[in-house]
Amino acid sequence: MFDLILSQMINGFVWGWILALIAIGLTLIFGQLEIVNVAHGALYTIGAVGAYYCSTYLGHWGWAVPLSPLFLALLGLIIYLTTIRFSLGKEVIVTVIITYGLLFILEQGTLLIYGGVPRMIPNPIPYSIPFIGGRYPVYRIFCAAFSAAVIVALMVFLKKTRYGLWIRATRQDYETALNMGIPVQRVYAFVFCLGSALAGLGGVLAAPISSVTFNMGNNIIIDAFIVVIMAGFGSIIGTVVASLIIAMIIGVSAAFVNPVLAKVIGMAVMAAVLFVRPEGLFGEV
Amino acid sequence: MSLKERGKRWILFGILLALLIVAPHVLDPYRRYILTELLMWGLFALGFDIIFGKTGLLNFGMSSFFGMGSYGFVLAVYHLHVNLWGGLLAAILVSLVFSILVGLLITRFASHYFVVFTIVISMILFLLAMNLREFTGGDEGIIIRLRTLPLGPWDVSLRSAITKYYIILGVVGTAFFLVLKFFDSPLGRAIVAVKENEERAKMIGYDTARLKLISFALSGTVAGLAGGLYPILNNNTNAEIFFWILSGKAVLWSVVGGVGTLWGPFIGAGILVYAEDLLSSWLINIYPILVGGLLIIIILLAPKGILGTIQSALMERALQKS
Amino acid sequence: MKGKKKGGWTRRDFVKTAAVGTGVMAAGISFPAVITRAGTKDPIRIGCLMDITGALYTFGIWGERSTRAAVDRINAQGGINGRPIKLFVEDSATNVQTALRKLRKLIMEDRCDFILGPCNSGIAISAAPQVESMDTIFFSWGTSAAITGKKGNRYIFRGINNVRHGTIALGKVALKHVGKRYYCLGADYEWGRSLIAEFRKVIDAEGGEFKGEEFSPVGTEDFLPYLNKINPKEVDILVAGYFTADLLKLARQASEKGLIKHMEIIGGAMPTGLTVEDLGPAAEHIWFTAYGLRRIANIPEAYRPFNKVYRDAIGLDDEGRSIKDGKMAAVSYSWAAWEHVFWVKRGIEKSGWRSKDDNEKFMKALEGMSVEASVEFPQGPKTMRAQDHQVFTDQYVTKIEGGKFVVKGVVKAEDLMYEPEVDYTKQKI
Repeated sequence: MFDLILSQMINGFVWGWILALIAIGLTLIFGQLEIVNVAHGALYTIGAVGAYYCSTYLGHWGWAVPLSPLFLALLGLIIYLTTIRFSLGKEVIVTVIITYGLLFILEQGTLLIYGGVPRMIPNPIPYSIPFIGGRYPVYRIFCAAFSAAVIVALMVFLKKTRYGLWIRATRQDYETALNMGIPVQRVYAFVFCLGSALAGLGGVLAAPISSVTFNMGNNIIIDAFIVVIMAGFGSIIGTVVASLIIAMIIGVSAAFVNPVLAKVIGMAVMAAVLFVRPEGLFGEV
Repeated sequence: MSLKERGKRWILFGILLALLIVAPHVLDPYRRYILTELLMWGLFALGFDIIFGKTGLLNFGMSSFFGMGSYGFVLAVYHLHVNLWGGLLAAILVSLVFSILVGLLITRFASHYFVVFTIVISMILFLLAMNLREFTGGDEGIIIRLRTLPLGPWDVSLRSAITKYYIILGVVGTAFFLVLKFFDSPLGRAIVAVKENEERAKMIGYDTARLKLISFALSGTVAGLAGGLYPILNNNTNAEIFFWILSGKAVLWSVVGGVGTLWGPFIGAGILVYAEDLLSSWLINIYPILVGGLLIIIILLAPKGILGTIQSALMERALQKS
Repeated sequence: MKGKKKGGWTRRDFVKTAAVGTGVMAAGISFPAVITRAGTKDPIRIGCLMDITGALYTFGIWGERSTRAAVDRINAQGGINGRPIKLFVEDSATNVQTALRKLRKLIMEDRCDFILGPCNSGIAISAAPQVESMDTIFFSWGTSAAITGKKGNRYIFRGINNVRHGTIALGKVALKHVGKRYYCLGADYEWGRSLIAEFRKVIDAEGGEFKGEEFSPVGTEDFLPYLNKINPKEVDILVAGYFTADLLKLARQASEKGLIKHMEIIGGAMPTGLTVEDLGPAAEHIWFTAYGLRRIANIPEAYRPFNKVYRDAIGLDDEGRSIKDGKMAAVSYSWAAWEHVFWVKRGIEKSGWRSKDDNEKFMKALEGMSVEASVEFPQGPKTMRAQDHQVFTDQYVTKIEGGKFVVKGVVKAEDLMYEPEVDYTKQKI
């Protein structure tokens, strides 16, 4: 029993990092642009589809690591310029509906281009290490480490670089930032592209673990939302912490009840946290 | 409202009602079925319009209420052997209780959290419904057979599609009428005031939390009632009903038809359900893309929806003349 | 602005009412209902409802192609009793609600006389009461047992074996070679549950030792939480109630976890649409039950020429791949869609069916009918049992050895017998 709990916890910890990557994209977009991006899951899916194409046509999954996020950033830019830009400053409904409409378009587009058949990619690191009475795939450990590295790099970027400064400034106080000559529009566009790229990267990492389907984003988006609410929209560290906690709680619960109910427990935890702190664990009031 | 205005209003209602009463006899069976469905879906979307259009809370999980209502009906008929009225009553009660509970939980949250909460709740319900197979029948659902309906001293047979149409027309019409009246009443107007400016409403002395809860409960019950109509039409219900796609449709129909107008949901549902059916065979592949594009265009360029935009245009004209 | 609201309702109300009313009347009047009696040379209208998009897309596409090819063939040869077939195709999108809506369209608007349904158990079960109330005969190639059981009715016919046959065959062939301690994992919907339930009956009858079962929601990405609960020291067999993609994920993750060394996987279905390479290292540890065979080389020699005609008609090669794009087809199932068209033909010819008024005659004609291996029934000879409208035919058990599917055993129809749960012949039409 202890073995089971431990292995579930570790598996949860690993998934937590991947989930964090996706959730951070969501929370950046929200923190900066006040947009609840319902289409975030579709961006994740497109990243995974990109991984499939790279793996199949360019020979190795590794190509997708730079290419998918790049593609998604470009896609994000197009989306931003054609739709999101016009919705800034309007009420929540406008952006929710826009991203909802985008979800339709992106998902159907993916279905038409990639097809309805789920496909698998060969595991880039097909080794398993001995682990608590069985084996654990090395690739998953790599994913966790890689996600962590990317997140750290992101935080460094935000703290230390000029663009990062601009992003934080615009978030804190739009008016002042504008007056200081910060190219606010460009910052917004950049953040949206960044968020999209992160979602895509999450998709690339997840692709070899299970399979690539045109609607695989629908599942993960729920988890991402749970995490982001619990952490409080806008906080990066909070999102990481919340992802890890939630993923581990769900993982461990799955040892006792079936994994579906484990997800329900995860949500109950989120609800409980919000009652004590309605702005989320690390959110700003 | 003057007597003359009131009279006009009643005449117009009467015309509409007459058309709807005659419709099933003029339409072929398939179109009759679609019209019946439209009434049900319109009521469902009305539930959304109440909470969003009139109260300003964006509930993206309307399928939860629809599902609860539909299962309330089916389980009551299946296990307790009640008749159709009992089923509808069960649908109303179940969705009322459910929406009050959920409302208490989440109406206090700010708009962004609220939306996400509704999405998550709806997904969790879906997972639960699919999972608790013994109770809900899972994706295959539960089948019921309602043969007759007690109506006063008579027993009306439910085999005829026309009978079903009238029952649904009756339920939808009554519910719609009541909702219209509600928003004309002081309570209804108070709720709308909260939407327009919550701070000011509070200063006037409204208990905004309570008002939001009332609206949420009303919205959920209306959607749940619509859910109760589903098994009347289809003799079954299944767990897939809880899936978020249905929630999205309520939003879609209301936004296209005209948010806040209460008539809008029916118009939106009418146009889109009919369009989907019409286009189904040859355009099925790009239909979702068209819908997505339509949503974006409408919300950016004509956010009041079809009816809302017409209403505004007419009001402009009326003002110019005066 | 608010204060200046005048009549409040008048003009707007008029526009609204007029719009809605006109819409309703226009919709109704522009398409009047015209009901004519089917003349002797009028086409026979057949509705084809398949999962052309969605999770079961592979079955849907090949099912639709098979149906169309069969219809074209029949029409080229003069139709049925001199009447051509008019085919109406709709996509269920692997979704029950959509399927029911399309079903109504096919029956009420397109006035279809027969419906050839998808390889989808959930849809078949939901459709059963509908087709009964709409007096239309429905063929299903979904394999959940309940379709021709308590959840079906006299309007439903099934021209393919079901999971009960599949599990009996697995029991007779595979269980000899593997241990007795088993753990079940299945997809949490009708088919997955049916499969696991049937399998447990079979295994328990052979002295199996049950170690646990779990069901995962459709679309589960990560099976590790489920696999973690299996103690490899205590389990010999993993019974997998999944098809295609999920089976693949499960197999791969099971092998990554190192479970494959200790146990064999018994799959409930052929991995439709997937090649041996797709399955990866777990491939040679899985036992499959096959309702049809993908490689012509494995098919009994006597049936091969007929099977070849079928494959040529829909563009498949001898390995079961599409000639046009080399992708693996759903050939172990799609033959059922082809054969269903011919069941309709046989039924009409034998009973002299002219319109839906003759539905009961059609049913009686099919009840108990035996057909031989032929171009019309290329999968092999079979008999349509009268009481439950369930076909009985040979069932295969396959495994991958040396990178190819081989047949490990064939269980003849007679040895797959089980008591019918129902007796549809008693149902009055």
